[in-house]
Amino acid sequence: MSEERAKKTPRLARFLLRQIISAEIYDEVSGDFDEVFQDRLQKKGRVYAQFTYWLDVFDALRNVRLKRARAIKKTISPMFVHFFKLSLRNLRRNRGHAYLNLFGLLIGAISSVIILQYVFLERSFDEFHENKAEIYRLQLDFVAGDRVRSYGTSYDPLSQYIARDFPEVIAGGRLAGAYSGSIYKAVGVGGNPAPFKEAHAYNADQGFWDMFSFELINGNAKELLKQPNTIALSEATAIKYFGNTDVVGKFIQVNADDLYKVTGVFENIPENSHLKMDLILSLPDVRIQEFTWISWDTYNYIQLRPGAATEQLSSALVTYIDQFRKSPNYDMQLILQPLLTLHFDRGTSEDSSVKGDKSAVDTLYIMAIIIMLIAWVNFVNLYSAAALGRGKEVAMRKVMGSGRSQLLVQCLFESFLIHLITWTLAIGLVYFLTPLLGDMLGLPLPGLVFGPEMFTHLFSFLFIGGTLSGLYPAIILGSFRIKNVIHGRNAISSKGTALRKMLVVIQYAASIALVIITLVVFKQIDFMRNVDSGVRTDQTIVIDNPSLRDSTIFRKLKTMKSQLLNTPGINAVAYGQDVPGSPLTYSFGGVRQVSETVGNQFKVTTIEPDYADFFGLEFIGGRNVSENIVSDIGKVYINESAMKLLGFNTPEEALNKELSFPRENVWITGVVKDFHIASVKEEMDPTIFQYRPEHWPFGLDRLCVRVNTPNMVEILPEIQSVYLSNFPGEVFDYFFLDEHMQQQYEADITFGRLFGLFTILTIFIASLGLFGLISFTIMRKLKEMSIRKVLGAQVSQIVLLFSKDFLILLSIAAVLGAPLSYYFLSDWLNEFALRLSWEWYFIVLPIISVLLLTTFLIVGQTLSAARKNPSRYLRME
Amino acid sequence: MKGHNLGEFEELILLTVASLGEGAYAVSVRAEFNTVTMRNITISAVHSALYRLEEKGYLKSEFKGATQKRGGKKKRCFVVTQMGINALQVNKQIRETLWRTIPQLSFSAS
Repeated sequence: MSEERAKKTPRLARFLLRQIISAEIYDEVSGDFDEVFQDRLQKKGRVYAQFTYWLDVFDALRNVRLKRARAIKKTISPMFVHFFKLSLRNLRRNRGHAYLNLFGLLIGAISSVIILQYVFLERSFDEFHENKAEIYRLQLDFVAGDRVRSYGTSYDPLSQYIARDFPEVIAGGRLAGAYSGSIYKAVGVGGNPAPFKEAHAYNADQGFWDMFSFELINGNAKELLKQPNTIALSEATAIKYFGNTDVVGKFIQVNADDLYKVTGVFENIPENSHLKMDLILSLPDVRIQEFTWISWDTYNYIQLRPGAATEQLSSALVTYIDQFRKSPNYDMQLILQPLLTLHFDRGTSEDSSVKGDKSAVDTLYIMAIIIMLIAWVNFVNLYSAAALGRGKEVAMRKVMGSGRSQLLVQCLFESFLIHLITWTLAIGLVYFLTPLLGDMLGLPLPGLVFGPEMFTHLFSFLFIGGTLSGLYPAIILGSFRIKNVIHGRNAISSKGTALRKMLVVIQYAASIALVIITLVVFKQIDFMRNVDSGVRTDQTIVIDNPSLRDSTIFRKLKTMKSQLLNTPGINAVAYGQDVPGSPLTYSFGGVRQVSETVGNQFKVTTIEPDYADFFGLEFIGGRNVSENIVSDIGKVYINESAMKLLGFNTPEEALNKELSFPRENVWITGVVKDFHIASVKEEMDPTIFQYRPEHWPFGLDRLCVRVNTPNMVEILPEIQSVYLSNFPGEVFDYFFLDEHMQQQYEADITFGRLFGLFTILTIFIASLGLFGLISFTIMRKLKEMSIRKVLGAQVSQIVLLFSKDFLILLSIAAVLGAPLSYYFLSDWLNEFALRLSWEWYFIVLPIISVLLLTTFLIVGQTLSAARKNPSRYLRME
Repeated sequence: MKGHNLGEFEELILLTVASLGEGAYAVSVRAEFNTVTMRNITISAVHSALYRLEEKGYLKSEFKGATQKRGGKKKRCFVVTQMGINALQVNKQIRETLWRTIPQLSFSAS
């Protein structure tokens, strides 16, 4: 080896090279440079070598970006391709099993997705508002002794003044339901445009619009509700009235007098908003000093500065308001309700929206997860049973040298593949099925809602479920001893069976629990519908009284009443302000006996003498008001709860006593028994019924007609003509009272239906699981069965022997499932004022039916196995 | 993927690496290339081609021992991959096909 000391390359050039070439490859590149230098040094001398070195370094500038490839560009690793082919082959071979498995999984996936869509929709209420975290609604609480009444509405001027005087409150907005009897008509449209009544018409101020994030299509958002007599319409409403949405600047006539100018058209309010408005009329400002503090019908929303604390604000607000309230004589609290809780909060009474049931939604969410769990359990069961049949294949591969981990991965891959197919199918099917199912179940199912939540859930389901459920079968396959398999001795460890049995028991326990729950839920609903609500609501048509307000109205109403009474088919007619089935419209505060100083608030409704008889109210003391007694005008009768709240111990004590109302004093003529005026789910509020025929607008808004023809629709045209002949130009709006009463149960009926569906699904999937378990056991025991047969056992004896095991499993399931359902049901039932009482057959009947069903399954399979020709199986040796 | 975008220079470098068999590294590739093609390319041009070919998957490389001559630095030796060979063959076939279609040209030994 030559010992020549290599002359060094020029230092500066080397330094430059260092800067040019990337650190990754500097070493080798510079090594190459050195070598070339040495060669040149030898051959052509130093000067040449150094000069060319410099040239080369500058030339290296072209490689300033050169790096080694980060990774070799991969084509799909051949291993995955192999797994893929293998999986497909397996699936094709065990087609029956695979389909069954896929089917079970698919059912689970579909139902899960559908339920989750509903859950996410419910949970997404009001999430689209930008300021959602800082918006609160003022909840008004009245404390009377130990009873607290909460209202979502409060006194009208509150939000404006609070926003003005409290620094933490940066904005306030008001919303109030518009008068429901108003008639709206488009102006300047050709022909004779039809008048409409609107159920979702509201008054609101500019502050309200600014605070929330509703989308405006036409018009100026900043000026939408600033001026008096302006109105904003939803897209659908604009089209309804004018045929198009280019309507800013046009006019809508409200009732006979007022013209409202259209200042904007907004996008139809999305499904997940607790407020749904079709029309918004501007709300005039109210001076708090002139406010009468009698009624609290406005929704007050306030927006706080981010990070502001709410507790001290609550009490500070009451102190602030007290300076304006004249002689408050009851305890009041203002609570700040966060916007996002409003959809679920059933603690307050108001009618701006149909409330969601949080516990039902949470339950549904858990159900969706449970469905998937059960489906996965099933998958594992069936898959491992099928896996046993592949013992030979596995053994062969092990012989060829597959490591255990390779087998594991392959199993996982296969399971993942099946899940992938399942979920893809599921999503596709859900897209088509949702509208159908929605109709069938009567549910407002959203279309394919694919928010981020749904995605994360779907991905977790796919990956977690897909891989975990492949784990167990993989373990089983991995534990095959080659020797055993080749000799045909597939003695599977009994440990596996135990786990599988446990899983089946769990599935069945769940099924039984669900059947019980579904049964009770439906029975409760049935009970509520048929229970005596204390008021007659059958055969009743309710019509909205005309919105006309003048001196002739009372006379016309009287005329109409007698005309209707003369109509054949009509038994009774009565006017009233409120009818059973909806919460009462008005409450008064500060009502007390004149001898007392402290008052309470009561529900108040206006009636006429025929009202009590019409609805079958029962007087437990005193009498009804009478048409014939002139001094009865203005008098009241009260219900039992009102009687107690006023401080009377017996009805007799209450008779002829004087009460202090906000603007007058009234006398009590009688006491009626409590009944369920709003809904059977709630206790009746203390209520005062006042006979006030000419008292507008707190007046007789409804016309109730009792019809004695079974087909109520027949009478409608006659009623309509009587109505219109007395009040031409009015809108004839009506509903059937019994249908109206049903609405209260809607949420519960929906809940029941979903539960029923879920139950059927669970049973189905559990049966699949049982089926798999049984076939697996039978496979194992075929030889044993054959031997027994040969030794003389009867088919029936064999069936009994083998079924016994399973029946024991089922009994365990029953014992587990029943208490579970009881636990859940006691919670749910407690929400109802009128409750079903537990009967023994609630529990026994479901258990027996499930047992029967599964016994068929078990016996069926064991029977067919027991009938098989023993010689076939004894030959396997 | 095969035989695509293999430039003339890259193809020649690839062929050189293949012909060198063992011990094909930047310096030796350059020497051989210059001898055969009678050009005088710079070492950096070789580097550029070699690394790019590796990135495309036509070459793979590993370190071989360092020598005193190189100032103690390791040298990176390249070997043609199967992919590389396929690519070369495709190009070869393309050329041969074209040559075969030229009618009256005779291969004169020159």
